[in-house]
Amino acid sequence: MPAYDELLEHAPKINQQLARYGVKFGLYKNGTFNERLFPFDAIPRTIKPTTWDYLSQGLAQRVDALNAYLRDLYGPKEAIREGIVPEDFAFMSSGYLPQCEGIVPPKGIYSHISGIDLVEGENDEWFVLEDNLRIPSGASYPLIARELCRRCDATTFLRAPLVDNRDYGTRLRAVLDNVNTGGINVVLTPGRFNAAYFEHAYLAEKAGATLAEPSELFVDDERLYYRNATSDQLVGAVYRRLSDEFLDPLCFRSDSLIGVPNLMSAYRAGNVAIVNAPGNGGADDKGIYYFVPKMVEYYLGEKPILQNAPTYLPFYPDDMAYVQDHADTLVIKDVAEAGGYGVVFGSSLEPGKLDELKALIRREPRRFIAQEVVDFLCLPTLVDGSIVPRKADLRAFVLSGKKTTVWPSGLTRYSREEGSAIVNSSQGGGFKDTWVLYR
Amino acid sequence: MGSLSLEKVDHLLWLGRYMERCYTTQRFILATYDKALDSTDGNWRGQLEELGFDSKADDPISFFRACLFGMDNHSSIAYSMNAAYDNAVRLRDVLGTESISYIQMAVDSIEEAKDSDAPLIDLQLVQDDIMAFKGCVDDYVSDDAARNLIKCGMSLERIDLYARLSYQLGDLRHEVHRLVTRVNRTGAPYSQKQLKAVTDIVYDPDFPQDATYEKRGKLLKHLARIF
Repeated sequence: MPAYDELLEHAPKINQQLARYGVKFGLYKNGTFNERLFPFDAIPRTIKPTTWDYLSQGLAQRVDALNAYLRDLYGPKEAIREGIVPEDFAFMSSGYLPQCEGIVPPKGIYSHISGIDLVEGENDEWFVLEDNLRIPSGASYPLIARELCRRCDATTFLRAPLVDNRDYGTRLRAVLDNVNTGGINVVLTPGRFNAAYFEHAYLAEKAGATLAEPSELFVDDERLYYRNATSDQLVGAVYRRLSDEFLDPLCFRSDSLIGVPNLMSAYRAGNVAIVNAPGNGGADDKGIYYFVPKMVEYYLGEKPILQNAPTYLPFYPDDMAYVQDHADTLVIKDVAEAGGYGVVFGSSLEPGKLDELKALIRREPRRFIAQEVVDFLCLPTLVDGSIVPRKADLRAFVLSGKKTTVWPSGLTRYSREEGSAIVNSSQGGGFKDTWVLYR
Repeated sequence: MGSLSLEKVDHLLWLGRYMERCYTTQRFILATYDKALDSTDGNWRGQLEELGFDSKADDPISFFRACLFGMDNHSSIAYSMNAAYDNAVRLRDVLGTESISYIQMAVDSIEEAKDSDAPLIDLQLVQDDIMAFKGCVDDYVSDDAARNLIKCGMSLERIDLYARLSYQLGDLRHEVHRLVTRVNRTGAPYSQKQLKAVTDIVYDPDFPQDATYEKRGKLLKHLARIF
């Protein structure tokens, strides 16, 4: 493992640089928007070349299978007919959108940028915790952190055998260009007061795309245009950073003030690529997650390289019985929640509360999954001048363009609280760079 | 003009205006602060009240602090720089992260200077950052229209403030000249008639000697209608 002692000595300078470049995320508290610096720990996560080979192959395989499932879900539905994914799960998922039925996106790609959350257990064993196929965020943070760390401590980077991760903008651009139907590339942001606004703007800059708010786009004759002050510009690919339900008020939520009216009609006509495709939530639901290894076998005819954390679906009677008997040792997740919300460790509940939760699971079995608690590795983390162990996960970014590739880096999120497994930035977590080693 | 929507044109102009508001207001305060301590000549309080400051504080130090750091007045340097930042972050794809970092540093410097016992000294960093931002825009921003929109915003604001504060009136011709040479390069629609009216006022042979309150008011009226 490369030495990072000198990098640590430069931690104050690195944090100064992060402040200078405004590396922030937004939080709403009591209805008020606040921006704050994303806490950064200079001690990186390092991944050995052999581990990275295994992870990147597994991640590409997983995303290829998920893309195949999405094509099937909104097309022939063969896997559903054959019971690989039960109908109840496929169509009752809140992310499944009937409005997307029959639409084939440009080049048949649904999930162009996938964020797969993993944790490392003992003995170099990795588990996938979650697939994020809608608008996974976070790539900008290790991207800029690497740039700034290199400036602050050249010596470490001169010696460390790291794969360079600073080409994310180029990779993103290639993904957009691959599906572009003719016109400019646009990053569509809901606006200045979105939690991930820094990322939206930074990625637009790095990918050479135009940053646009919904009011700057309009659809005419089933084509999407950027409302330029002198002459309108045709848009060929839109990397949207707002949720499906707000994307087009004429197709989804009619009360959305941040959508682009008729965007879906332009998309349906094949005149613009939407990155990622609407309706991807039908494949990254916490319930659908259970079936992803089966998808790999079904669509690709391969053994899944990556494993899920051991998961139970109370929807199945056997699993329901297990969950009812072992709820106190499991982690229960509400499939409709995200961002670390709706996650309950059975061991943390008083007996009365646990019984209430078990009753709720019996009433709404489709709403929950249960997982064995994976005792994932802690990473050394600098807290108040001391290096202490903290739980951390890894969000890997898989880009599906001409080929499916994995960005040799990722967002390592860590919990700032001792013993806590909640790493989400919205709940106080920090981030680290992820170093992929080439030797 | 590259990919600049009307919203971005507006943000670019206002970015320039707020940067300049912060810069010139601070320079004006620096120029009058010393005089105010000795209660020497000058209507600095009246001039600053033209910008909307109506602090009831009797002592000049409290009054100037409100002009520097009060967030309830759109002319304070703290408010101006926050507003500049708010416009700038919407333009990251046009300006680049490097340029925006100078605005971020200026915002942070103002925040730190609030608690300082010598704020005018600490605020020199803000002046440095503004000058660096201007250089950065020249060096990094490749879109000619975007660059000129920021600069036109700065010129508009400088003319506006000089006229309101009756400050550096002798420099107005130079500033109007700069505005005239840049405005066509913005690609944005503007009123030639209003621009000509502004030019006529400052190039009048009697200006600035007879720059009465009314004349300056007329100048401001035409200036506000150029864009």
